[in-house]
Amino acid sequence: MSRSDDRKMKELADRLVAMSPEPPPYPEEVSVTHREDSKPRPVLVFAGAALVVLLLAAIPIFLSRGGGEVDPVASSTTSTVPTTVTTQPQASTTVTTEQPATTTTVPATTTTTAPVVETEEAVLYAVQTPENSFTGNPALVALRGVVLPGGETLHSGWEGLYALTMEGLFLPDGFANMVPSAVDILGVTADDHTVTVDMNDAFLAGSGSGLLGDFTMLNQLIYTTTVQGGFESVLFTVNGAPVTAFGSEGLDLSEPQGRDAYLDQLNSVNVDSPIQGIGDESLRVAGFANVFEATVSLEVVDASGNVVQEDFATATCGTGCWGAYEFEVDYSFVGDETIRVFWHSAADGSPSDVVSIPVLWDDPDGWDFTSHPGTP
Amino acid sequence: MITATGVMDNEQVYRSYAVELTRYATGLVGPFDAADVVTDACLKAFSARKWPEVSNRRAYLYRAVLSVANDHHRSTLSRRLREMKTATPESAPSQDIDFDVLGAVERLSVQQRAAVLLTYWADLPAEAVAEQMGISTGAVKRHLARARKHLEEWLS
Repeated sequence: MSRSDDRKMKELADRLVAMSPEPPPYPEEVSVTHREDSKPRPVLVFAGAALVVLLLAAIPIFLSRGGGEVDPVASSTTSTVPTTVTTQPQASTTVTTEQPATTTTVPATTTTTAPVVETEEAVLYAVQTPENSFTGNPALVALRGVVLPGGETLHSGWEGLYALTMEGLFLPDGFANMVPSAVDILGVTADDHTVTVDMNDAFLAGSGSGLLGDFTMLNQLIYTTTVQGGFESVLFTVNGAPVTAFGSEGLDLSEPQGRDAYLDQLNSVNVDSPIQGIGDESLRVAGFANVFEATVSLEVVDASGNVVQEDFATATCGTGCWGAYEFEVDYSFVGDETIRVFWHSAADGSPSDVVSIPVLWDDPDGWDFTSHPGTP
Repeated sequence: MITATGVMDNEQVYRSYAVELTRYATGLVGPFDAADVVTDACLKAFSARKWPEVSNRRAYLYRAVLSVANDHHRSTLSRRLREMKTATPESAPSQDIDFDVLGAVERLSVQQRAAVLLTYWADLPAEAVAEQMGISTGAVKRHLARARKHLEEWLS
């Protein structure tokens, strides 16, 4: 870029900034409170005596419903908030949220408050049926999003695992969860290498959809549990006892299960770099694959179905062994794109075992795993 | 007000930086939403738990403005431009709107706008822009390259 172009860029910036309006007045009516905990938990916002009265009136209702969990349906937002409620300088009342910093404006001229639910980040592995599948095995894809906390300490730090057992888990189109909603986590403990997940009795029945479904369920749970903290394996127990007969074929799970335990029951291409909310940033897509000559392909497909970018990467192993692959997708996303990861058939060159993942363009939090009832 | 410890209170901080923050926000989201973005960003910053310990409050507020601006959909500016172009003279704002500039900037993402503004308006070096935006220097250069590419037609 020449100096002349630099001057033009500077002129453009100056002309842009020259349109600046007068700064808004200092929002003097702001009531600022600070969160006490570094780990966000469900919080009710207090903003004056009126709300205190409302809260007192609501106590019997909360008690009758079994205690402190906040009904997501009753909340005005599922975003993490700094518990700030304010009256805007203009004739509107605004509830300001922190992550994502969305703003809800309602026609009112007086200060109002709303119960606020904070959310927790969660990474979970969902299941997808790949296109043009060679083996018929499902693909694992890591998704990042937010969940409402379970309100219990045991879920803290294991939000993704908790989400998989959550009733009403929402997953984007094309993804499924093989963990039945009857399965509950009773406790999670960890040492340096192994996470022990204690389940209820419903876990023993497996996925309820046959042996492949059971393997897939285990893969989801193992990958989700070990996605953080450098853990190598998961030991499942039921009511504290070892599991010696799991699912439709009575699998013995009495030993810790690593990520490689059921690899061959997966699609040849899997994605474990959660894709979401990258805006204009370059996008990292990584995963593991077992494909011909270790060559993994990637396409960015726009909303009209046009391939707008393509790339390939070489996995660390291939043609009979599993290897890691990674892409750095340098593309200006505008919304509604889909990332497709696959390998080209050695026979006819067609895309095989294709995994398709929608890119969330403008939401830094990723998917909302809780806002849409019903599991695909 | 300056407190006994010499630390500016929130109002003093706000009054010190409101003008430049509004200009920065104008560059990011256009003149129509700039005031709202600044207000939201300041509320967000003032209510942050670590705000009392923040040493460089100006930089923190710049980051807050970018964060809030990021949550504005790109379509917002486009919609506002359409509304402005069809608005009756009485309903138009008093400030001069440079539609050519806004039309060009609309082609950029908020991240690209921030990189352009911090580089060419604030005259910051790439390393400082990267720190301000919380991204790598390479990413700043990519944003600038893309911005230049998008603006090429307008600049020619």
